[in-house]
Amino acid sequence: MLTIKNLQASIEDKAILKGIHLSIKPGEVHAIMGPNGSGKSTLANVLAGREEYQITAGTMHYQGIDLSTLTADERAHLGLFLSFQYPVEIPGVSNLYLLKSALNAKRKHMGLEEIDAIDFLSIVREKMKLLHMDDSYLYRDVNSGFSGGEKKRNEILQLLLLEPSLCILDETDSGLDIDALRIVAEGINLMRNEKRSILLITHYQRLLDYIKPDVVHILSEGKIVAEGDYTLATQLEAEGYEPFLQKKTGG
Amino acid sequence: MISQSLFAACAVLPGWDKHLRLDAWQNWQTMPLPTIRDEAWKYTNLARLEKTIFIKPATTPSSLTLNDIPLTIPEDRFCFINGSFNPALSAPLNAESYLLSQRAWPSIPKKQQTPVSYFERLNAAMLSDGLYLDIKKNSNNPIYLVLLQDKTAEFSTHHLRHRIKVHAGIKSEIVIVDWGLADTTSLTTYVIDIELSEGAELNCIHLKKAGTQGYHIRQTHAHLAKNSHLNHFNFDFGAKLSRNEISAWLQGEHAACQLNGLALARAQDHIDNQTKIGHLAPKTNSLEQYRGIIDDKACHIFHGHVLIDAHAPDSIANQQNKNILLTSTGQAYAEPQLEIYNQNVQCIHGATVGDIDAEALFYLRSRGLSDEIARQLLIFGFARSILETIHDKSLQSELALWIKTHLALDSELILDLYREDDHEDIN
Repeated sequence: MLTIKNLQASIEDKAILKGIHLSIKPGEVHAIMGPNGSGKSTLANVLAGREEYQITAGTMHYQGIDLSTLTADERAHLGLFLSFQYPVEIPGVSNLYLLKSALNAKRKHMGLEEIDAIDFLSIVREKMKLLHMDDSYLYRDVNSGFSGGEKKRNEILQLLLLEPSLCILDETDSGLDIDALRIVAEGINLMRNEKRSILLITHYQRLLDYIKPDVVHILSEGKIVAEGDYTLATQLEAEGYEPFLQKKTGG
Repeated sequence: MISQSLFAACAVLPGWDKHLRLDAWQNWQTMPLPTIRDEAWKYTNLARLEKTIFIKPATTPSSLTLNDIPLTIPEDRFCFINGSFNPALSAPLNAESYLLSQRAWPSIPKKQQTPVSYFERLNAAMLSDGLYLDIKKNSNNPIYLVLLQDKTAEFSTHHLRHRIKVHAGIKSEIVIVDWGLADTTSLTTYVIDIELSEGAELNCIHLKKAGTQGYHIRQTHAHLAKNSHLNHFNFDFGAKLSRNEISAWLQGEHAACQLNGLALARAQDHIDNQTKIGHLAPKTNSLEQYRGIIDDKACHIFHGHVLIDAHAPDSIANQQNKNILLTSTGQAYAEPQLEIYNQNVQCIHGATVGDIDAEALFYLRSRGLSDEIARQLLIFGFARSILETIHDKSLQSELALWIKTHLALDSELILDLYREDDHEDIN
């Protein structure tokens, strides 16, 4: 379970997160929505361990462990996975190599042996089939020359392969056309089970039509200003952010 | 640096024009050593070289064997040890491959005969030997030209010149290896003339590891006729001073060249790459990719001059230079220079100097890779992008191991990368 209390974070002395409270239980899907600049991506990056951000107050615990004491790779070993808003291109490193090293890093942490090359290929191909990805993805350099949609699909492939227990999806829907969105959403839905927690970060309700969240949070200026069930997203889509932002100003 | 008596002690090559040699010596003596006030030597200070006294010419071949270098050298090879040709280690000479000391220097246009630059004059004056390769047949096997130096080369000076001619429509590959087995203080000048006839194709791969105290100055001149194609690869593993000048003249329509380079500079290495591409005919094409990985207090300079003549419409030139600085004490200078006299051309260039990409590092770490492994992967990936442009797969993997050793990378990691690629072949 993820528990965030009064989390405040800044970058280059500019405060971005100004006291976030959030808790996600195993099996739950939460969505965070909010206008540009509200701090959504910062929250995702702070959780994943990006070192450029300073945590100025508050705590974040996952499975009872203080995340702020762990590096990004240690957080990944613990089961945290961030699907990047802008997946990074890494020329010279094949996708296959990254996928295998990532899986073996996790296995090593669990005390398991490295996966056999043939077994690995059959597992990764099975996952790629689910995402309608062909074999060539394996031998291309990581995200290099991939289209926006291909990059996002590649993130979900890593997610399916690594089977993390806490998935943070940062605007996975942006840059996807309707068909790709459906395929990616189906991939994420496959991951839903009673043990896994999912945090969806999105601008639009569109993705939530495919992946129905248990809780919706609205983030504005570094704070959660409203919380509710799935209907909150529908309301947001109909009325826009304005009423929520005014409420905050008024209260 | 070099005395009259050392010059006098140099054997005169029978095939080499005596007057040219003497002229070159006299011209060299009157010419001042380039200084950092000369634009072309702005970042490379020769003051220390000037103070170093070299006392020996090319020495008699020692008992070195090819097992002394960690690279497989196939049988189609010609070896020079401490500046002298070694017949025992070389393939038989014949009408198409002969030493300059055995026959007359083949005709070169007058204009190219007169050395202009400081080190070319020195090379012409002191020439120890060289090979003429007159390539008239297609071959699937690369020809290796190897220069080895061992510890007996201390304070010696070697001057080699090769001439490579590829006849019309012929495809060939040449691998030039310069390997210093010991960190000896020595000066090597190297001039390579390449002539590609109409429709000829040459892959030329140059590997250099000159030792931490070596001064190694190389000039390559390539002339390309219509429809000919040169792929030149320059892998430099460092020296006290390594200077690589290359000029490629695209003289005939549709001539094309690719000049790629990788400089791996560490400790106090100084690698200075100076390239010039002249587009002199219509529809000529050039692609240039140079990269540097700079560690410790080392330095890499890239100066890339692209000239597009008024008579070269519809030409395309693309130049990229990227450098990674692994420490705050390393230095990298990137200087693109474009000189364009025709409006109807496409010209792209870019140069970067920076740390390891922080975004990419975070991305890999967020996937569970440790900081060390992620960094090594990014450094190797950066080098690999150049390595992969050579087509010879076995040379590619041998070079990958050189790079691994040179940069002290985790060998399992690199081997693994190549194992993954093997799957591609299986499937």
